[in-house]
Amino acid sequence: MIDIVLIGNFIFLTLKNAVPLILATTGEVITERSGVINLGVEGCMIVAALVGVVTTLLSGNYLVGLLLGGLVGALLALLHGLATVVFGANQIVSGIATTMVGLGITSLLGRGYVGRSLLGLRPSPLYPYDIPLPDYLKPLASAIVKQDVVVYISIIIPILCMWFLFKTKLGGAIRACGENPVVAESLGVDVVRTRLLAVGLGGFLVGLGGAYLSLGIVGSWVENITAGIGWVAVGLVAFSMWVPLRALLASYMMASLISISYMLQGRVGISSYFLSMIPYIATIAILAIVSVERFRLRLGAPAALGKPYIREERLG
Amino acid sequence: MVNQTSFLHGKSILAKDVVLSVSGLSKRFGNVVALRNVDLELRSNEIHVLLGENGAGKTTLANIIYGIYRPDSGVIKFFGKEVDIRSPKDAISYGIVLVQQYPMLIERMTVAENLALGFKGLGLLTSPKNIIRVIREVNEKYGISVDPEALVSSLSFSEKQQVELIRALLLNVKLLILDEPTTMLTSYERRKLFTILKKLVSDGRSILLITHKVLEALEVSDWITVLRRGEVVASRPKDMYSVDELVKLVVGDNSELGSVISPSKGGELGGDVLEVKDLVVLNDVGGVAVNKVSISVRGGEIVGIAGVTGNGQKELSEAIAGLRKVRSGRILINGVDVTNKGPSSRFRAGLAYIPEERLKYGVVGDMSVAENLILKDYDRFSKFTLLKLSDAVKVADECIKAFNIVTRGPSEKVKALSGGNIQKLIIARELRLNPKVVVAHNPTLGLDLRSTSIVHEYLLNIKYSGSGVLLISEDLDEVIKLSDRVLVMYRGGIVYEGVRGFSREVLERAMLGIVDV
Repeated sequence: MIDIVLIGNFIFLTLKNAVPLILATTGEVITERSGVINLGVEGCMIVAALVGVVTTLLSGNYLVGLLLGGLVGALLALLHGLATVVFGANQIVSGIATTMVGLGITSLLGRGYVGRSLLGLRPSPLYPYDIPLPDYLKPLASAIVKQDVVVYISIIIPILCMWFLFKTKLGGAIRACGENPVVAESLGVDVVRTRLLAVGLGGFLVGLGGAYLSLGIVGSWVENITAGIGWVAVGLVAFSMWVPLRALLASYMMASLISISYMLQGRVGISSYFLSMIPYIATIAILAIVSVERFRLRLGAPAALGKPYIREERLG
Repeated sequence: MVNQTSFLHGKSILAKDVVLSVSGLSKRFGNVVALRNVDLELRSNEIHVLLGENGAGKTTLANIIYGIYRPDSGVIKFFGKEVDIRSPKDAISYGIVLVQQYPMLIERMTVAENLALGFKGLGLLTSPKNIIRVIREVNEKYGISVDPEALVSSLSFSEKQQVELIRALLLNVKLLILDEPTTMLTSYERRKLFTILKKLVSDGRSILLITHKVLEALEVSDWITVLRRGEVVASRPKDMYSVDELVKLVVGDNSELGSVISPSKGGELGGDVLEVKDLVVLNDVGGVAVNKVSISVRGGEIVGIAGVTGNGQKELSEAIAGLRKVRSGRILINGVDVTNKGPSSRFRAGLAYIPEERLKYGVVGDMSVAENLILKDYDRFSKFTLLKLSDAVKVADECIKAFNIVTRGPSEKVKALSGGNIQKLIIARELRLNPKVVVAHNPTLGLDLRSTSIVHEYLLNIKYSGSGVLLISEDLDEVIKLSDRVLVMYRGGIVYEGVRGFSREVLERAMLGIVDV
């Protein structure tokens, strides 16, 4: 018989591991829908992860750490937005620079925090009590019920973003900027402002995801804590065809791969290094498929993705 | 003049309010005078046509009224008050809306979503669906039939134009400016547009309609102002013009366009230079765009392909040029099967291609005139893999002279050239290589009359020299004027084929998919 505890464990891990992916992917979906690629996701996440730890230690409340992490993510993303949207810099270059800055600055400033315990300060299960269920159901039920509040919020956020992007005027404006900024402007949309908003909002969600990584999953600050999760999120954006609800599903798929690779380590005769490669290999495969231009448009990529918009100067 | 006309027609025009009055308006671009001392008065409830050739200054005038350009001098009054319109936003706040020649809409969003973008009556977080009711009301009132929930990309050109009209109405337009609205319309669609416009006018709005077509001006207008070389040469009620007089006013006395080419019969027809057999091509989203099309072009003839935009012409021309994969079928150029070969082997077989999007596929804007002219055979200009630009400059000088390209010289960047001159450059480059067949897709789109007639002359010269031309054009007049045979494309297929002497009406019906058996 399959070990019910093992399955419960797997579900518990998957739900938790998916949180940073869901938040970061959804955030990047919003940003890319406005026509801006932010390859600084990894950088925004790692800075937020450190800020989350530091501010949680200072304030004694992980919610403060989470929110400030999100805020810092938004600020860093807006820096990228300033360079690309306002000054028309190359989005790829600026994004990668953002990531490099994030990785560098956190390993420098994070030294003093390595290994500092967040004991008693981490998100706690929303329902810590014993569940009145038969023993063979308990592991499954507690895997779902005994999560912290952020796990549940991370499920609601893509749904909210779905409504925001497709059912509101502002969401429509964001998509218009991603499809054809020249036309959007002529229809009365302030492209620069709208894109900045999408970049900031996306950065906030990315930052939340980063902060949850250190606060909710790892439980302390570790150098290079993101370990490429931000890049995985960038890949998932395309895989989810720029639709927030699909981002939720894609994140759970990827998180289950991550959880499996955890759980298999030491249990099967495959090198743990190889097992931990699985999610990254999956990401590369996804990116290879979705980077074919014609295929991208068919998938629903915003037509003006990555193209800077500079208000046309008047002739004459 | 007003008194004179009211005397002549017995109806009082004096009673109408002056909505827009422009006086002494001038505008220069560098050394070119676009508008000189222009006066214009537009009254309420009137369709006022601004008539003139391309380059006469019509669009410049419209752009000034709409706030895209600033005039050098002159006064604009709107409802008697002097106004300073600095941007389209200003213009819209006064109730002035410009509908541009090409619809400015987001293709992959619905009509309602598009219209919600600039609509003030909606909060940022309300659903675009909340204006569907408003759109339906407008539709009903003015006889517009656009589904507010349809994707814009699924609409025809004329429907997109109607969406623009709805947009203007939602913005509470008082003065509607339309820039060449009928260029891409069939006569049925044109009549429908005019019906809507007349309703708008009877509803208390005013319209300034820009066109270069004399008959159209007479058909729709209440008042016609003729612009020639930046100056108003006449402005009176339409009943006071005769057709002949109007044509003379538009073109002027010393007509350089007098060389209207008569596409009489060329020489002997040669063999097939282009054969397309049962061609199937997909569009960007995987749908069938070209469905089993067979075409043959012989040396010494021009074969025209007419059709409403978006019926597969783009995919057809790209497939022939080697820019798009062929699903099935064959393409032969001068007898050589090039079906799945790249563009370079096609041009070696004798194909020249004049693409529709000349800036995207025709030239490299950041490279010089000389570099662009040798793009296709640059290997002949290189020695030991190094480019010998001095030879290229020599060739460029010849081309500039022969094709009358207006440029500061071979080293000028191509993106600084005007559309007409870029087109001449492309034609010069393609013809330099003595092609057997030329595929031209909308070769005169956006060009003024003079450049257009030059391009037409070149196309005819190609024919006379014994090569073949496949002219894929959405400008029906152009197709009728130049072609020896015409095929009509509709929904990816050829629905009609006729030889010289075709009736415009039959072609137009075929373009809408109506084929009489």
